[in-house]
Amino acid sequence: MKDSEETSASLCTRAEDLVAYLYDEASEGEALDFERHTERCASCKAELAAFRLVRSNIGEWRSHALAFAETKALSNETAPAVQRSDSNARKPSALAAIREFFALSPVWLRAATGLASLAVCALIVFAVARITEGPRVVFVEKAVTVGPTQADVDALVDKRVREELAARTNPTEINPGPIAVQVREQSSPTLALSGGRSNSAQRRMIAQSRRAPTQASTDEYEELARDLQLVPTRDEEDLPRLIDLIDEAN
Amino acid sequence: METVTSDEQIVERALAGDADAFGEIVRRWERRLYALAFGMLGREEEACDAVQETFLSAFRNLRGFRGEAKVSSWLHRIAINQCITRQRRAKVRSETALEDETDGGSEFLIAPADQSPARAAESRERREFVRRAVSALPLELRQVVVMKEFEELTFQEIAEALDLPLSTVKSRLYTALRQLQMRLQIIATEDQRKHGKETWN
Repeated sequence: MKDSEETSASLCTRAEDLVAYLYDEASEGEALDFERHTERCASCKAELAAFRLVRSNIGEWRSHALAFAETKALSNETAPAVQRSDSNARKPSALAAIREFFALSPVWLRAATGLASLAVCALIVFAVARITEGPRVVFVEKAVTVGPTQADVDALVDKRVREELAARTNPTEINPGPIAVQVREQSSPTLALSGGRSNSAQRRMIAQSRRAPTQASTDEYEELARDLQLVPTRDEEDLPRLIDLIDEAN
Repeated sequence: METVTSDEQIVERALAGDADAFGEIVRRWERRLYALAFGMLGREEEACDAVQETFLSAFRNLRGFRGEAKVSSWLHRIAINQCITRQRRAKVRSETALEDETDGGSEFLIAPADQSPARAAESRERREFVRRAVSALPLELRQVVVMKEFEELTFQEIAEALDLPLSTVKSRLYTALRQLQMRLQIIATEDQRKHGKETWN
């Protein structure tokens, strides 16, 4: 501004009178006085002419610019904007309220609102998809995570068939593990003593089946027969037979 | 006989709940404020936006208006602040280099507009020169010259709007006109040099 003031003071001291005269704001007496001054002051006379030319150019620009305002009907643009913010006078529609919100809010708030809206829409779409396609999704998950696949089933069946066929062709090789365990159990004296009568007989039979037939003695066969109740014991021989009792009764 | 309601009375009505009262203020002042904003900003769209923002700001702060200043001064202050804010945002100051130019002579070379269609391009170019010259003025000079040339306010009204002494308004206007004269001459000279044209007369 200092520079500007220096510029204004460079020519004549009647600068204020000059602008008052230029803009027709000087009184009649002031105007006459300044006109007389310009007859004597060449700089004020030249400046007055130059300033009139400047004003003319500004006027041309202004006329063109304000003609734009006339054609665009400025009142139609400004008045609604003001009235929209008057919530007491009129209740704007939802669309107008959203427009006003986006027009007045800062950029970050617009961006945040947009992201939040997108997230809500995505959640709604996801929920609708879950509702409409829910049962199918559960069925697929169970089939995949719990049950065996068709290939597993086929493999198991194939394995069992091969084992069965092998067992038929070579019976002694069926389940060698459990039989060996039973044999070892039979060889254990504690198990033999603790077992019941029928159990011990079955174990003996199994053990004998594992031995060679020639190795079985006569006593052993008799004992086995008694265990299996194939031959009567001495106590049983002493008892009267049922048929005899019936005949006596008759 | 129809009585003219003052701006202050209309604002009182608006404060009392009259929904249409502020619309009357808008209708009264929109053209002047648009002229002010256009002169300050030099762009039509920017000026429209600045005027809208001015009225919105005024409406929001209506209850803060205490009547100590005139409504016109209040609106002008808001509008000028809007323009300054917009200019700071845009940072459109490509013409500021011209502020450092010295006085190249007293002869003013740009003549009034020729209305013939053949010289429409020159007229458009001349308007652009003026726009650039006004935009390059310092803010305190620009707002005075715009309020005078575009709004056609009196010195007294400008002084009240800007809260300045009357003599300061005249002094600033004189300075602004001198700087415009110099800038327009420089722009025209540069343009002649660039295009090899004859001076306008």
